[in-house]
Amino acid sequence: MKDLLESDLELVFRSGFVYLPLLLDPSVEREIEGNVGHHAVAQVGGRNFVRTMSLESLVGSYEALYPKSYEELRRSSLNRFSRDVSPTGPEVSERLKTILFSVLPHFVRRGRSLDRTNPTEEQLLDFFGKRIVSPDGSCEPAGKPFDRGFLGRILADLEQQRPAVEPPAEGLMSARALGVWLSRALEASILEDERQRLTRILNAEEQLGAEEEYRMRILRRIAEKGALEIDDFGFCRMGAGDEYLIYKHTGEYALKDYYGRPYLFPDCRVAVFTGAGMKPFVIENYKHPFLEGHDSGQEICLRHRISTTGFSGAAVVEALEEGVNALLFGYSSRRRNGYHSLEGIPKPTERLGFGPPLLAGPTDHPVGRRRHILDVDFEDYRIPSDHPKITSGQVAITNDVVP
Amino acid sequence: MDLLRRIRSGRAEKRRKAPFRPELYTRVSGLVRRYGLDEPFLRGLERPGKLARQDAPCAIRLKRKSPDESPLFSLSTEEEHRVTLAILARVKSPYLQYATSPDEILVSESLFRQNPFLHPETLTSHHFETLLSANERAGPK
Repeated sequence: MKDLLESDLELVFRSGFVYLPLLLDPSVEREIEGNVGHHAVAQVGGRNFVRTMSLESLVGSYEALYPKSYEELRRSSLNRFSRDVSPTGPEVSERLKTILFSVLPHFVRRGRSLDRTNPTEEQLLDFFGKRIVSPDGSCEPAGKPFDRGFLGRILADLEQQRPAVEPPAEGLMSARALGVWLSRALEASILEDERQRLTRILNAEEQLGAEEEYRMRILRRIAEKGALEIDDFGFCRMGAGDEYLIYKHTGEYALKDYYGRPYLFPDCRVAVFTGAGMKPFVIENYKHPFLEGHDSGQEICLRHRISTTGFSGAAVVEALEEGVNALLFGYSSRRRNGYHSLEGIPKPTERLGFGPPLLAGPTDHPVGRRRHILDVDFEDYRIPSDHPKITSGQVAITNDVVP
Repeated sequence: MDLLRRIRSGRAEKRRKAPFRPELYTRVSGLVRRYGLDEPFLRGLERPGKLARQDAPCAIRLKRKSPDESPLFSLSTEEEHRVTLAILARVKSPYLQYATSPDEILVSESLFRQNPFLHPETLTSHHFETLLSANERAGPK
């Protein structure tokens, strides 16, 4: 579309449709013979033009067709007409709401204040309000109160500057002129959408009671920060968009090797990124039999593929649970599954007849994705069986019952 | 060969997939678009021999054949379509479908007049001007 609108092409606008120059071959020529004047083909100045798209539907579908371009236009239009400051404070996106109300309750430890099986959004917001702590250590749950006067002024401003866009004149026009008209029409549409959105917000705010307003302030505060960590679960917004890194701490845990010797693994965060499918990975620089090397951001080797790849509350819960379970309960000391075994470094052996030389060691899955195994040694994690953390029950050996 | 076998082989022959060959229109319109052929070229078609000699005045003209980059399907603008139809109307030579450059379009008719029995393999691997030159040197058969 961008190429078309920046070209030197001449096109025709008629009855709400854009007609582009008709391209020919003998079969097309036969088809249009005698059909010129038909609604699909228009003849202007001795040239044939074919009906293509409706301008109205192009404006209406532009957001879905060209999301990046639309977002840029939206940002520039709103910056020009309103102020730099968003009149409603930070946007509380549907994605953030899903994380807060569908994913988070699955992972947080619920105390007396949140002991029901399916807490409502109101109960959760009250719970968040108690758990959000400001940097100075004081409990400061809610953000600034909603400024209705400021929002009203912005609305009036938008109302005053509402641009009127007439459809282009019928007949021949250049592609660049169409591009200019399209930009103006999109800008008008964006401003109208924004005006309607602000009106809805203002109406909703006016109907809110004191408690509801307090909860909205909590929600806006979380959206403003873009990050929250409660118990072992947390999330943080990445960049300026609406993508989040959602993570769960594993806490310290121990795995035993073939000989029953325990290895103490430090805490790490298993995360999924909403912008890159539901594949769990470790945030920290970490090593584990189910990780290919000793690095940060490594994907965890899972027994099963995550069933859904798109973002949803259930998919995030499934991916995080699979990732954490794989680290804690996936390694079998008997089968020594995974990329590495705890008790020794695999030794290179001779070529087995295909591909590069394989490394065979005391493990039943010796080939990594890069077709070789990095040397990962777990000797520094080894602890005596009577280690205080083990004997006191502070750290559990999690693969005791793995077959 | 008995009747049954002949019928079977005939049916197998019919079922065999024929390789896709772009139509003559597609090939020529591809050249028109690639080389931007227009009115001066059409005027040149009226005196192809003269143009060819102007381009290559030496006695033996050895030219490398351009690679065949004809599209599978072709849709042309009105101007390109008009030029393509004009070329197809003016050049009456079956060798036209093996032309891969405007020079070859210009000499394809002369080449056909001189030697109408050239193999497709020869036409696809040698430049028409080279073939024309070779035929001229060989003299009339």
